[in-house]
Amino acid sequence: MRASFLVAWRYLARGGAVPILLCATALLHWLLPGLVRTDGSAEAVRELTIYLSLAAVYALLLIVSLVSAASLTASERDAKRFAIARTRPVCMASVMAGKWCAPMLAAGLALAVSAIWLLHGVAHENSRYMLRPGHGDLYAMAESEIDAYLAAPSTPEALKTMDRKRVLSHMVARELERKKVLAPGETVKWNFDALAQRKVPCTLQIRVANEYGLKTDFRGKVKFGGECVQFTNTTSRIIEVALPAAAGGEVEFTNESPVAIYYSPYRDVALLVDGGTFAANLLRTCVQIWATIGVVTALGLFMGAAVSRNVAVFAGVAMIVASLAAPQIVEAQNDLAKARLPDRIALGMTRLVAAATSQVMAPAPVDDLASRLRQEDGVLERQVAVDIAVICPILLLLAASIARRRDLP
Amino acid sequence: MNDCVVSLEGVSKTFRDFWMRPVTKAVDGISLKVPRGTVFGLLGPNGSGKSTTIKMILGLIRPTAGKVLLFGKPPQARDALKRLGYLPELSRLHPFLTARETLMYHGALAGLSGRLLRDRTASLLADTALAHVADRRVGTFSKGMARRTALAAALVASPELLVLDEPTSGLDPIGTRAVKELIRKLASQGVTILMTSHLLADSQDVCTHLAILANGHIAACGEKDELLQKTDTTRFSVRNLSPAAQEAVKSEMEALSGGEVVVDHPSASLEDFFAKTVEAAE
Ligand SMILES: Nc1ncnc2c1ncn2[C@@H]1O[C@H](COP(=O)(O)OP(=O)(O)OP(=O)(O)O)[C@@H](O)[C@H]1O
Ligand SMILES: [Mg+2]
Repeated sequence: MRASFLVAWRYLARGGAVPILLCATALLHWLLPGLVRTDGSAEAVRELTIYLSLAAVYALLLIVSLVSAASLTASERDAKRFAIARTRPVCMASVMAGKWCAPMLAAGLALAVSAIWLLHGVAHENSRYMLRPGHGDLYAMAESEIDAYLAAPSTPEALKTMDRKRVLSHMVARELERKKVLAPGETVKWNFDALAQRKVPCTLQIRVANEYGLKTDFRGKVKFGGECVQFTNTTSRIIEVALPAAAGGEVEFTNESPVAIYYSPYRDVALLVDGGTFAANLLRTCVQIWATIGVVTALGLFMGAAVSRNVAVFAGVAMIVASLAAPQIVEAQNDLAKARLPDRIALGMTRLVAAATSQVMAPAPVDDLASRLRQEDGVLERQVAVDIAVICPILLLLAASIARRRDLP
Repeated sequence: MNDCVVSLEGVSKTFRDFWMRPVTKAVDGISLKVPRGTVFGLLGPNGSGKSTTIKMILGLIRPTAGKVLLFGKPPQARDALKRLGYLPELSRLHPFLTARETLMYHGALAGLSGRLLRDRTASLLADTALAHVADRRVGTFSKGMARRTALAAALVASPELLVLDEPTSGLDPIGTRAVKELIRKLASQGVTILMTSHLLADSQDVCTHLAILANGHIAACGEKDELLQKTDTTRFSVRNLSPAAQEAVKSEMEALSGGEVVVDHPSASLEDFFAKTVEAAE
C-alpha cells in the first residue's frame, strides 16, 4: 500500500496535478477578497468571503480529484501495468487503497492552505447550533385531514381513488412552505423543547417580510423565561434578538410594528445556541469536505480502472455536469406526473442522479460555515464514517476487481 | 515432481472476443516441465504462443483447459509469487519514476523494506550497469536502459524462478552479452530461468533445456545438447596446419571413415567480433 501510494503521489506531483492544485488554491484565496462585493455590512462580507473561497476550493478539488484519480488508474491500465503488480505477492485492493491516498493527501494539503488562510483572513465568529421550534407531526395532521375529506359525503367519487402517498407528501411540503401572518399587536408562542434542559444564553432569529417585501422598521418584544426584551430592526430582514440564559423553552413574540409580519413557522424561526469556535467549525467543515472528496476520488479510481483514460475523464466531467443540472431539471419538471412514460422514466432517472449526488453537489458544510451554523452533533461523524468506511472501500474493491479482470496483458 | 518448478499439463488457451466467440487458439494442449536449476528456453516463431504460455504460468490469464502449477501450487498463490521474478515482453515501467525508485517500488511490492531494500537496489543498479543513471527518470531512458531496469526490477526480490519474456529484445550486442552473462551467473547460483526468445543464437548460448513451440503445439522439447548434438559427426580443430598436411590428413580420414570429410575454417562469431571492435574503439 505504501509503495503504490508513493508511486501515485509521484505521478501526481511530477505530472503537475499537485502543484497546479496548490497554486490554484493559493491564487483563489489571494484574488477572492478583491472580488467580493456586498451591500456593505461586515457580516455579509465575511459570510460571502468564506462561502466563495471554500466553495471555489471545493469545486476545484472535485474536478482535480476526479480527473487525477481516473487518470491514475487509467494510465496503469492503458500501459498494462496492473498485470505486473499481479505477479507480485500483493493484493490489488491494497494497491488501490495506496492510490486513493495520493489524491487525498493533495486534497488535504489544498484544504489546509484554505483553512489557514481563512483562519487569518476573516474575523472569527463562534458558530451556533440552530434549534427549530417543535411542532406536531405534520404527516399525522395531513393524514387526518385527508381522512376527514374522504369521509365527507360531498367528496366526488373520482377523487377517492387518488394516490394517497403523493397527496400526503404534497400537503406536508405545502405546509412547510406556508407563510403565516402576524398582524400588528398580535403575539405568537413557540416551544423549543431542546432548549429546556440547557441553561445557556441564546439568540432568537426570525426571517421576516412584510406584505410587499419592502424594508420597513420592524419592532416588537420577546418574552423568554420571565424576561422581556425589546427590539427594533431597520437594516436587515433577519431579526436577531439576544436572550439571557433561562430555564424553560417557551418563547413569546409580539409584533409591535405598524405592519403585519410574514414568516414561515418551520423555516424562518430558530433559536441559536453557541456552538464553539470558528476554528473548530472550520476543521469540521474541512473534514467533511475531505470525506466527500474521498468518495469522488474512489469513484475516479473505479472509472479509470474500468475504461481508458480519455473516456474516464470525459465521463467524469459529464457526470459532474449532469449532477449539477439534475436538481434544476427535477425542480422545473416536478409536475410531470401525468406525462408520457419515457418522460417519466427520464425524470425518475434524473431524480435518482440528483439524490445520489446531492451530498457532493450541494456542499452544505460550506454554506453552514459561512452562516456560522453548527450542524447537529453526530451528523458529521455519521457522514464521514459512511463515506470513508463504507462507500470508499466498496468503490475501491470494485476498482480492484475490475483492474484484475480488465487488464489482460 | 519436487524438483519441477513449473509444470503444464495439457494446457490450451483460446482467446475469445466480447461475445465469447473464439478468435485464436494461441496454445493447444501443451505439456512441459521446467526442472529446478535449469535455463529453459521457450522458442518459436512470432505468434506461436510463447508469451501466452508465460502469462498462463504467471496466472495472468486463465487456461481454457489443462492445469498449470508453479512451485506445485496454482499460479496466483501468494507464496508462489514471492519466489518469482517476471520480465514482461514490453518493459512497462513508470516513466515518471527514476531507476532507483522503480527498483524500490518493485522491491516493496515483493515485500522488502528498509535497509535491505536499499542495499539490494544499489547492488542491482551496479550489476545492470545503471548506477550512473540511477536518479534519472525511466521515461528518458533508451530502450536498452529501460530493458535493463525492468530486468533489475524482476531480480529485486532474489527470485527462485525468473521468467524472462524476450530478455534481450532492444539490447545492443554488448548489452545482450551482459544479460547472457547475468543469466549464466544466476543459473550457477541455482536460480531457475524460463525464457522465451526467437533469437536462436542467444538461446543456444545460455539455455540448458529447450522447447520449440509452433502454432501453439510443442514441436520439440528436451535437453539442449541432446537436441542439437549431431552424434554421428565429429569435429577437430587445429591451428596453423599447412595445406599439404591438410590434404594428407583429409585423405587419411576418408580412408578410415569411408565417407566424405569436410575441411573449412571456423569464423569468429559476429558477436565476439563486435564486442572486440567496440572495446578497442572505446
Ligand atoms: N489478448 C489476445 N486476444 C486475442 N488473441 C491474442 C491475444 N493475445 C495473443 N493472441 C494471439 O495468440 C497468438 C499467440 O500470441 P503470443 O503473444 O503468445 O505469441 P508469441 O509467441 O509471444 O509471439 P512473439 O514472438 O511475436 O512475441 C497470436 O496469434 C496472437 O494473435
Ligand atoms: Mg511474445
